[in-house]
Amino acid sequence: MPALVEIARALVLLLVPLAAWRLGFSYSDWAALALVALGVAIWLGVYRPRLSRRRAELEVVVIPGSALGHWFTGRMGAGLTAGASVLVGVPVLAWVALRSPPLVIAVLLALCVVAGLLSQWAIRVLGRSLTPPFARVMGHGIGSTVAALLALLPLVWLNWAVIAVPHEITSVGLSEAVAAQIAQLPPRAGWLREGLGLFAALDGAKLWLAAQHREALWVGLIFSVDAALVSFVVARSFVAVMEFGRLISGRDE
Amino acid sequence: MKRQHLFARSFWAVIGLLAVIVIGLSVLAAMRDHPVVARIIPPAPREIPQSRIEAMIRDAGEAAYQAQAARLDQLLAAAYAPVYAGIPSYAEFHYSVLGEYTELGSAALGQMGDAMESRLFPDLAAGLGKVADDLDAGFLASFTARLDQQIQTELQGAGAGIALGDVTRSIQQDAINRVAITAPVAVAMTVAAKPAIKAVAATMAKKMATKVASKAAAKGAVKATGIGGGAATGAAVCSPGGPIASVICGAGAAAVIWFGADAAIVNIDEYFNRDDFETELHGMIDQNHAEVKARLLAMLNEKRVATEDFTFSQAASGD
Repeated sequence: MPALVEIARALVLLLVPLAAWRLGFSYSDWAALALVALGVAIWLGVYRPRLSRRRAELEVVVIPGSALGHWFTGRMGAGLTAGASVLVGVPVLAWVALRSPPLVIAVLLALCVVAGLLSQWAIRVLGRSLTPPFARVMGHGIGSTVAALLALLPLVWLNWAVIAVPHEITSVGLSEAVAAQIAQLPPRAGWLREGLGLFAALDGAKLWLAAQHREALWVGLIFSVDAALVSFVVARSFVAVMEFGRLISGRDE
Repeated sequence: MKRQHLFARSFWAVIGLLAVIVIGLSVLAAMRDHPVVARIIPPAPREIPQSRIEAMIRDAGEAAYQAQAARLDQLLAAAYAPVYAGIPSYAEFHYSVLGEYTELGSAALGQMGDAMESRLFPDLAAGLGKVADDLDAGFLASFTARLDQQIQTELQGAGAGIALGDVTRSIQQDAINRVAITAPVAVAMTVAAKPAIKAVAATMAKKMATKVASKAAAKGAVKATGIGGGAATGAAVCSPGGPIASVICGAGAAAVIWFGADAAIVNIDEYFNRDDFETELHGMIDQNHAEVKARLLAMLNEKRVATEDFTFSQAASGD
């Protein structure tokens, strides 16, 4: 039961900022402020367990009271990993929230729940053999990776056999296909549109390339697998947010 | 510990605030049509969800295809009317001594196809070009009207005075532009019409040349006997005038009998076979008409398909 509570809490922490972003983006760039909360959650959710593990390692490696002991705190490594997670996770989640079809969002929600359950199960199992800092980090990795792999199948299938591609993309050039994708963003200038325009351009280019060779089985499959890889980012981010939920609920030991 | 507690509370407060914003925006969006809300907040432009607008584009493509397919028979009838109307005059020409010799000469020179094309299909290429232009313009007009009608229905459903959002307008305009330039029937027809007409004229000419040749051979046998007798009689009649007069009279009598026999045989042939000949010409033109119609339908279908969606699974399986 506590596991389900943790997952529900993490879902609230993940979905509320994303929903605010999705609803607000049509009206103003200020909607991006909602993503700051998500960024903080992911950063701390990655930083804290990484820092604990790094410190556990350093306790073995660094001689207490040594001159360099002051510098080897583990903060830099944990901070860099957390920063990278935010830099990848927040834009990808923001883009997914804006542009994914409802079916994909439903699968990704299910993925979050499964990733949460598997992570907690893995942490429990590993906790019988490993110290908590190691069990947590490894449990997060195992749980999110296995859940993402499980979600690959339905996501590949959705991109392969369900999500329709407009036929007109086959009769236009690359630049027109990219421009058509960018044109679907709200028409207002600003850094946010420029940033999201990169995602739109990348999506448009990949779709155009795959559509040109749509008769080849492997092209469609590679495109579908590539589109499904978002499951790894979503699962890792959700597990981080779940960890953050533990932290702010005072359950972080 | 106290700082952590404060941070947690602050964070939950932010999440709570965001939740209030989300719920507020959702409620406002749901109640936008309410007169009180509409007075406070002017109606925002309506963006139609992408899947919905794609379905509308698909539907408009189908409607445009059906509308043009329905008027295709009428358009083709107008283009082929001069061809069908030309059948009796071609038969008239065919069943004349001059026509017979012209056809025989053309067949001997291998130009019967060109002759037939210029006599039976002089304006067909231009007529088919006009049909193709009409189809392109009609497809675009039907597509635009249907898409616009569906969008207007959607806007009316969203409430009075609501304008179309910029993104949806851009998708709509993009779709219309694409239909205007994608798979134009006129371009394909310009490329295909002349060779198609040449091909059908050549096929008809081949059949006709065989007939003309066999007819000439059959007549030759009949005429040889008559000419022999006629020349001998002519020579005998003019023999008192000397040998030269005999030769001239013999040759003149032979010529009169040759062409007289031609005219008689052509008339007899026309009496017995003209209806069949015209029916056969009709059949060959009907066949060409059906082929052109099938080709135009395929071209229209190409335009329709360009407005549809596909999945990679369908594309790979060739559906």
